[in-house]
Amino acid sequence: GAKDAGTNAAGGSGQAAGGAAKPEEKKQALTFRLADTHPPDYPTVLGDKKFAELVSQKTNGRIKIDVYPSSQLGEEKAVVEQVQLGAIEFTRVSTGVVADFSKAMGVFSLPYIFDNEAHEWKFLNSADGTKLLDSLSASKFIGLAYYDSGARNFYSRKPLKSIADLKGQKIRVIQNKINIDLMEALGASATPMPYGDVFSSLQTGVIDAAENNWPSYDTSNHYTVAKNLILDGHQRVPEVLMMSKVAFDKLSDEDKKIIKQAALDSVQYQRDEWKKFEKKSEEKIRAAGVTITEVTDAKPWQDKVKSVIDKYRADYKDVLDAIDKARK
Amino acid sequence: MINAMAIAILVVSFVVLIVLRFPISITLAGSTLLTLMYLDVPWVVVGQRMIQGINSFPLLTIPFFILAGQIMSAGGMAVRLVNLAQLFVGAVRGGLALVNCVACMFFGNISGSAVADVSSIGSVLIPAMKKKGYDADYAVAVTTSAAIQGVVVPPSHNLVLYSIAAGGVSISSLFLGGIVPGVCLLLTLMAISYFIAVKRGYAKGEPVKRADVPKIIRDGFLSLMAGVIILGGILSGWFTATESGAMACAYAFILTFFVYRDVPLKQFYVILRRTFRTVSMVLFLIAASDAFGWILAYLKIPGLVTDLFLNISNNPYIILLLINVLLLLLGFPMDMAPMILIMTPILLPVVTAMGVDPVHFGIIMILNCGIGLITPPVGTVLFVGCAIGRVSVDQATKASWPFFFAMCGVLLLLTYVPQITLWLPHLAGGK
Amino acid sequence: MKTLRRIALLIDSFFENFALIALASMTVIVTLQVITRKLFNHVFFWSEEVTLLLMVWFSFMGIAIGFREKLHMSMDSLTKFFSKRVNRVLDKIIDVCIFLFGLYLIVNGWQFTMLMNESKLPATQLPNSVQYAVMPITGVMICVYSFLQFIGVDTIRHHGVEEVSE
Ligand code: NA
Ligand code: NA
Repeated sequence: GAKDAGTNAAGGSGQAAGGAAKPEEKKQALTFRLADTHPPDYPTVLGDKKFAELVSQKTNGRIKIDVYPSSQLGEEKAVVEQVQLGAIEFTRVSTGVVADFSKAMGVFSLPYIFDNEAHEWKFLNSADGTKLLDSLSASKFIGLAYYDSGARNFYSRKPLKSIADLKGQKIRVIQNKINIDLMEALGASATPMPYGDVFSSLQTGVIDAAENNWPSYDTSNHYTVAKNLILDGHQRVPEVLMMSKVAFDKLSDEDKKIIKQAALDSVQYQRDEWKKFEKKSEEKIRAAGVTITEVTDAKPWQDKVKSVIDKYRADYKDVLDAIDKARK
Repeated sequence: MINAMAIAILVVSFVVLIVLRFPISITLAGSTLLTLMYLDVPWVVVGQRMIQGINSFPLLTIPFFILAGQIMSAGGMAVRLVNLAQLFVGAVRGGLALVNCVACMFFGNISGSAVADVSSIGSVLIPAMKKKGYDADYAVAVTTSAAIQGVVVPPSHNLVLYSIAAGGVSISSLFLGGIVPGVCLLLTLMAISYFIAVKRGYAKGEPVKRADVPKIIRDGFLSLMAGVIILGGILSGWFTATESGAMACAYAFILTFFVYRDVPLKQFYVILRRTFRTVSMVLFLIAASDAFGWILAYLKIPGLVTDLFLNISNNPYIILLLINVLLLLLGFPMDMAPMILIMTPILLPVVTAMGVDPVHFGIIMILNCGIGLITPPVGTVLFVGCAIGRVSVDQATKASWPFFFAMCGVLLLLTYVPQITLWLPHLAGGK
Repeated sequence: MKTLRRIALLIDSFFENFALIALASMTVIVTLQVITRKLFNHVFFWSEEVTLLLMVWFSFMGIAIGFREKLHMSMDSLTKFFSKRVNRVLDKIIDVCIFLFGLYLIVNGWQFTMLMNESKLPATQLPNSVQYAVMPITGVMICVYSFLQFIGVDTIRHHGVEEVSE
């Protein structure tokens, strides 16, 4: 259906240019902006570009989406505010940041709620995952699709072979209540710090450890100074591609459909690119002689942070139940 | 899509407002606002970007180091440092200018921000130089130029910014890469300072009386310890470069009010007010530049300018020259951080495709943006220097030209002899 | 009239002292952060966020007070060749534009503050609007100062403060 609509739209626009169309068939050429914080070759930006390309294809170039990578239009939170305002039409942003605007998205900060990637995506692709995405409209966003951002692991300049090793370590985490409680539950000390200071702080020992996914551990070069990695996968915080509701509401129903479909169609490509990038990073990091500890049994970790889940269970009850349901 | 009309509105309103002596920050915010009105983008973006431009932890170094510098200069540390400097280079003509260069290098090794550098060293040495008979414009020009070393030599949060924008260039390699270029810059600036001092006929310092030497060393040592504590604290992992500004304040506070006790504690209120004056002006500029940078990015102006240059040639030497010229030109109206963040992703792929090492390009980029900090109409370091030295932007700009050209010379040297930058990183095995 | 003037000056001093205290507090918080982290392996979760909040408030009040004290830099390379009369007119035009900028901060700043009331700051969970609420306040201050300057009142309160003890 969407594909046909796209062709019709282009036809309409062609006629309009010829001046022969009825006024209501006249389709306006539109240019939108999509902001991303990562550099141009990063998998999230590749996903953005794929999405832009699909939209352009389906509208025969009538709707053009310019991708602005590398934080050109600002850091994630500032961009989200502008998307809310309608100053920027699209952004790819972490659900962790969106949580400040739409509380339910904060659920992904809870530790060890997903067993693995398959579990995560089974939930995200389920009706409940879509419902969560749709709930963004209350905060003036249109959630279009989830993108992959892998799993987050701890890495330290000190030995990190087991859960016990985390005790007493100063760990830089993204500042939010759940993360601080998580650090407390693990016996570690949450240390606030801007991302740009983390490398030198790991190098000099202001902090002992930090946490991130494979690609960021690689591109930030943190692996050169924090050479102990434990693959605990404590969080899977997906990315979300979203549109400003202000801009969305101005679109024709046809265009709305095209954009929503193009976003969903770009997901597989983004996930493939993420996989490729993750693999490349992993190979590079293994070759660099980083001490890597696999976590074969997640049970002790899940037990240790149970208090955190319990504390927030009431806040995120429906979503947590849906995530548990997706496990089966 | 190129929006020629919007670009015209931005450029024309910017030029008109600035030549009609509207405050520069108002010019930046105002021309951005006019362009937003034309584009029908919500107007409040200017205000939002201004807030977000300030809402940055590393930016804290600016008020901190300005405050530390104010405490140091009010509390008698300036005099003691000058005396100590006198001891070493008193016999050289223009000695205080040379001390200024070295001191800025030393503080640059601590702060990583040229603005913090000029505010701390400048607050101490510009008044001291004026007192010793140097012209104010020369004192400001020396200090602002010397402060640029701070962004090149490690630690430098601007290099970290570049590394982030470049998507994963090794920060340790960048830091190592900045050391030798920093020394080149130091030697060049010292030579220029000396020649101008001779030409302007500045006095040699009076020789220090032998009996005073122990006291000068003892007093100066405690002041110099501020630097040692900061550098030592960062290197040993006690605190980050950003936090070091607060530590400098704490140390200067204790030294001034509990050790030297030249001024009473209630003087601290006046110091705060004085700091507030400089800081508020600088932060307004940073805030307004952030809004301006946003609209530049929004209209894809940097990309357009780059395309223009790339259409001219594909010879790496010529491209690098063109990029240097482009960055120098953009450095006049643009501030450092937005320039690094906007231009790096655009220019880096172009140069790496021609085999230029990203570390090498990083240092070129940083020095280039650094030079932009002392050129009007948007030169944060220049403005801070002018505020401290109480000279007009025009006067300071005029006195800065020799330093500007000297630094451009160093820039060309670094551009065409990559070994200067890459020697240390390669030695350490970094890539 | 005299009482009105006294009250106005009192309010003005309040904002200025607030900004000065913010500046001092930022320094104290960051110093504390270093000490508690090193000695007790603990950092208050709010320290970074509160410091930045103080910084934003302090800077925006600084913008307004900078107008009061005529601190903000401009380039007079061209206008210094204009006649005195033209420059006097230009002064008035600039005052009006600064007033309009203040008005912009009040109106748009207030709307945006309201919009940001729904979102939160991540660590303290304060409403996001506390960052932006300083915009309208700064706007009011700018409007008052530029209006006074327009009708010819000398608003500079700290003549001679900037003199570094030499
Ligand atoms: Na530095
Ligand atoms: Na400049």
